[in-house]
Amino acid sequence: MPDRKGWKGAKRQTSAKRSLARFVFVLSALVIGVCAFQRDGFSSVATFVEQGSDNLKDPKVISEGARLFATNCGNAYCHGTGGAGGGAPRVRGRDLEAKYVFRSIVNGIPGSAMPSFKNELSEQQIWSVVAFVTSDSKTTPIAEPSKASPPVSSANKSIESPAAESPTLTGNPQAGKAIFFDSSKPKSCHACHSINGEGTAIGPDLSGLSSRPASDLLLSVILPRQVADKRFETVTITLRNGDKVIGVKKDDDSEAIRVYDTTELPAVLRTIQKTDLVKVESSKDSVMPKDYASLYTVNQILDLISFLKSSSQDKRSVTLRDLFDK
Amino acid sequence: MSISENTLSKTVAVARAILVITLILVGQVAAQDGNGDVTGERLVNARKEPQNWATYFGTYDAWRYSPLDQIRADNVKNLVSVWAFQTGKVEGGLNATPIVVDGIMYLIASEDRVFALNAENGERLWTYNYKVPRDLVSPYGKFNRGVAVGYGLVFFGTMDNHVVALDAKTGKEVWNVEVEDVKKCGCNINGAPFIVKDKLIVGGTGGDSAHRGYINAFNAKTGRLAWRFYTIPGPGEPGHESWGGTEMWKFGGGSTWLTGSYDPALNLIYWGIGNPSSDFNNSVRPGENLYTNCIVAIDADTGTLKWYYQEIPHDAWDFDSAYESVLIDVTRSGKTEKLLVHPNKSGFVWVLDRVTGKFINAWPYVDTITWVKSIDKEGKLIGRNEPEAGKPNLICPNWGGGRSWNHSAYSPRTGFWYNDGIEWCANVTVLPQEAREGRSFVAGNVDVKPPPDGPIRSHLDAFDPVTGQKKWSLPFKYPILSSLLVTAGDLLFTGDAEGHFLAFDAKTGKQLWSFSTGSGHRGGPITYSVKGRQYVAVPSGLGSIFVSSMPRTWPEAAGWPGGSTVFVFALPDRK
Repeated sequence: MPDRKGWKGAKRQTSAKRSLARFVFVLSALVIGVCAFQRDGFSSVATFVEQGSDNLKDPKVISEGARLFATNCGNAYCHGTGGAGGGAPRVRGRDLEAKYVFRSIVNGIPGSAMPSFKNELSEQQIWSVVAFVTSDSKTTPIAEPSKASPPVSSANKSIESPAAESPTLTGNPQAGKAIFFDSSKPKSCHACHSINGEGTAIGPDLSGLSSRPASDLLLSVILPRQVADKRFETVTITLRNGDKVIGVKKDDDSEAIRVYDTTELPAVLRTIQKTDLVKVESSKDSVMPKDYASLYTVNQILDLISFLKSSSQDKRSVTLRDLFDK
Repeated sequence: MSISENTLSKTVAVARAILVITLILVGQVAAQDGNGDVTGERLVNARKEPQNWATYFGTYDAWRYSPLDQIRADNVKNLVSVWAFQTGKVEGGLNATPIVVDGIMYLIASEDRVFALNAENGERLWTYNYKVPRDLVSPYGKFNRGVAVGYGLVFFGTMDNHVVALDAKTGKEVWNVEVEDVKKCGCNINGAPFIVKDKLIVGGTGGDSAHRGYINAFNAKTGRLAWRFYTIPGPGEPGHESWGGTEMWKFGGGSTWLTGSYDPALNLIYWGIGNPSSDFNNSVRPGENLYTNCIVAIDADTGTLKWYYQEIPHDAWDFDSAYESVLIDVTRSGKTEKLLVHPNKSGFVWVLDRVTGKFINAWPYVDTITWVKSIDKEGKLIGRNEPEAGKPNLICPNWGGGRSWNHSAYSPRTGFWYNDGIEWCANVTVLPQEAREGRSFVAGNVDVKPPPDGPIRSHLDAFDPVTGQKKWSLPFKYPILSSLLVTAGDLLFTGDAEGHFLAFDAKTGKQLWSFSTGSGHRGGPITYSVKGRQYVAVPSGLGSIFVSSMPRTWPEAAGWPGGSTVFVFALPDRK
């Protein structure tokens, strides 16, 4: 086959030429990689370009992809056994472009039920799935159920582990995350704050607090102070019928003003027609509940602060001492 | 003296009677003119206002029955189409049941687009387009099953798990509450909420995600959360032990994705709770897994559990108990029993005493059942046939159910309960999966197969609701995916998957009329009247999780056109 021959020909280059070629290859891969990262938030399209279809046709890669597909994508509500379609569309035997499949798995498809697998599968695993999806659906066997081995780890470990067992009063970020997102408590943090793209952004977004001192975060949690950012000021709106709405303004237009009524949580977003409105007043007070010191134990507050600081490079756990260390 | 006093008191009595009658008449006229507001009290008596279809099932007892009888077996052939309304987007189809109150139709279409229409001529009064976040990954589709109307507001749940109230007159947003971040829970709201007293009762999807289900009650006027009933008991609560001491109570599903029923006399809300997740791998959640696959009876004021009955403990088949709870009073041997008739996905109907939750009977509405050998007189499942890891096991009916979620109907005139059924199976294989909060948590593969005795087929039937005795049955090639409607004109209406709107004689099952709407039916037909003229309205337009999986079983379904249109019919206007 001519293309095969050409490739063999390339192998017979002198070693100097090979080093140069390798250098250019690495450089271009880096450049493409950076671009791909900016575009996809995932540094892989470069690998795709250079790996080419040889790797995607590797039976071992396809078989690994089939195994991953079965547990992650092939259930009845999603793409069905072997990608033949279930609640979600058929994906095999449709001549889907590998690059498109890769991007869809990495980013998900907004507007559909297809979620992102960025945090679920490694880059290499995603490419294996791409290899399976784009493989010939007539000749490639789907994963044997027996080979689709169950994942070993259990969820309770990955989501939360009790901090109470810790003898040194050290915060546990996993437990803190569970407190932050505890939907059974109306005053749980996520009801008004987002972090790393999750939660409700009524108050300030709490991503990127890793460098804030623990003592500072403690004060913000238990002693809400005046707000510095105008967006989060308390607004009091007096209506024509005498009612008052108190909370945080979301936005307004020529017709109406929208306010998160935070007098009780969960907050209710109220749309107030400007024709119904008498007065809008604002103050620097925070609408944040002032009773977290009595709602949480010291341990829970340590967990919470550990979670808020958990994106830090400094992996040292937050201790009781840190809470008072200026 | 005494005589004149007597006369006076009589005069007062007469005057008082006239006043009361006048007030009632004024009240009725006001209601007919659209000046009356829907309240919890008015909804209790919804059957006395047959001109309206004021709540999701028509009435709190989920009969989907209307006392209107202008259109009957002998004149249904004369029905003409009087108006149609196109919502403009076909993706997601039209799954809703319209609400009609005092001559205005409220309709919700895919992507949470809400419309108010003049129910007499289809004229559009307002449109509301919900702003769906651009980056939203919506795990349970774009469709919506319906709105609730009351207290001058129109309520609905959204693709991104909010509950929204609109001004019924203007369509402008009044309040909006986020129930939980979709990204965290992998859940949203596509079932219709309903009003009980001063509260709006809302369920949610999420039963196939790693999520803990709940029913929420909001103060209808203010949007404040009034109570929340978790379908999985937390630590320290009774029933928590039924999760075997595992952490699966946090991820075990138990969603409430359809709409509940309500008995005002008992002040109890009845709700069928969805399957536990992971759906097919029950080994990760040893125990009965309460309150998944249960009927729960909840105090409407407080949200506290009064009783529960678990139809399928420790489910391994994805056999939700999510479908409608039909409340029927039956007089047997001189005694009136308050019953709850509940079709389950598994092909069985459970009959319970709705005062106590006591088991009365369980009977099959499909012919092919292999997941269990039988159900004994105490309601115990005998001979469970569970899917396994490593080898496919033929399970009938399959995960799609002995029928889909589209609702049944009950007529107090015939005493028949109308329902559809699908004869089909699947090879199910367990694929153990790790729970990741908010992510799909199904843990199984399913290959649809025909039943052992012939091809995949469907049917529409009339049953005695308590004994399950079949009164009549009609064969269909494709599943009926539209809800059923039965009227005092002894007509049964439904639509088929190919787009025909059909009318049958409710007593015999004889087909009397058909109209081709151009796209399959997935919503809820209703009937109402304006100025004395009876109308029948049917949503047309396929779309839903069930529908997207159809081409695997029926390849021709891939070519069926989508749609999103309401068609309205009436007898020819004689004026």
